[in-house]
Amino acid sequence: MTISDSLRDDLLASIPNLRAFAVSLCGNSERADDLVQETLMKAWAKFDSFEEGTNLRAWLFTILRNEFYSQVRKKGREVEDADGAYAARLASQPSQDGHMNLRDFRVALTQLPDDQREALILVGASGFSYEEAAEICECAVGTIKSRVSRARARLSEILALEEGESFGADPVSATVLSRSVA
Amino acid sequence: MTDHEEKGAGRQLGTGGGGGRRAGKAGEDGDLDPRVQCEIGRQLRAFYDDVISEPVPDRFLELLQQLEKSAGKKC
Repeated sequence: MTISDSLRDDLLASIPNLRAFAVSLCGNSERADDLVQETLMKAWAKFDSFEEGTNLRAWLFTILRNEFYSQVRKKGREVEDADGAYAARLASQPSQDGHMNLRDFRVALTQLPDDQREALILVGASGFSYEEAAEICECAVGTIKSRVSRARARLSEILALEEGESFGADPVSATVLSRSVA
Repeated sequence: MTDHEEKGAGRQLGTGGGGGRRAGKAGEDGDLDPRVQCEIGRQLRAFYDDVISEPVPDRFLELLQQLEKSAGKKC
């Protein structure tokens, strides 16, 4: 089918976002790009069912997400193992100054349950509202909210984010501390 | 999904902290320290923006051209 130039431009502009979402879902950039390719082909084939002027990004994300889960269902363990190996490889990479946090964070993300990870990404990084995320994940808004909240709590545990730590120097508590010592 | 916790990476990361109080517990809504929420949000966007800032691989541009070409033939 043919599509308008503006729709084509919008489609092109959505690719970076689709890739980022795909990487967050499958934790592997090579597989993520295959997923994006599949999404673009599926989207193109059924563009006649897309209402121009409505949310193209949400429509594309929905296609990508469905494609991801249908691949997981088909491939089963194979996919899970690949993800586990990827997480282990990330974890074993030597730390580089300034990149350690991001690497740890990626590993931590792979340890979240799929439903929590996707909810957190959609709301916290892709910029979707809770309502849009609920539509993409085909669940209730309240479900998305609780998944996001559980994902945050779990991440903070995995990353061992604790009060007074991991936030750099805290001048206030440092002052209090030095005073109480003096 | 809990089997992820058994993997080495999880254990390694989970023991990263010292003896301070845990700021958040799984399953407790809105209980997280705002600074922890803020830190998670920051890292999440850093991770995501890292991928977004990569140039679009040629394979996608070629794919779109190909799709357009095949559409053109039919019409």
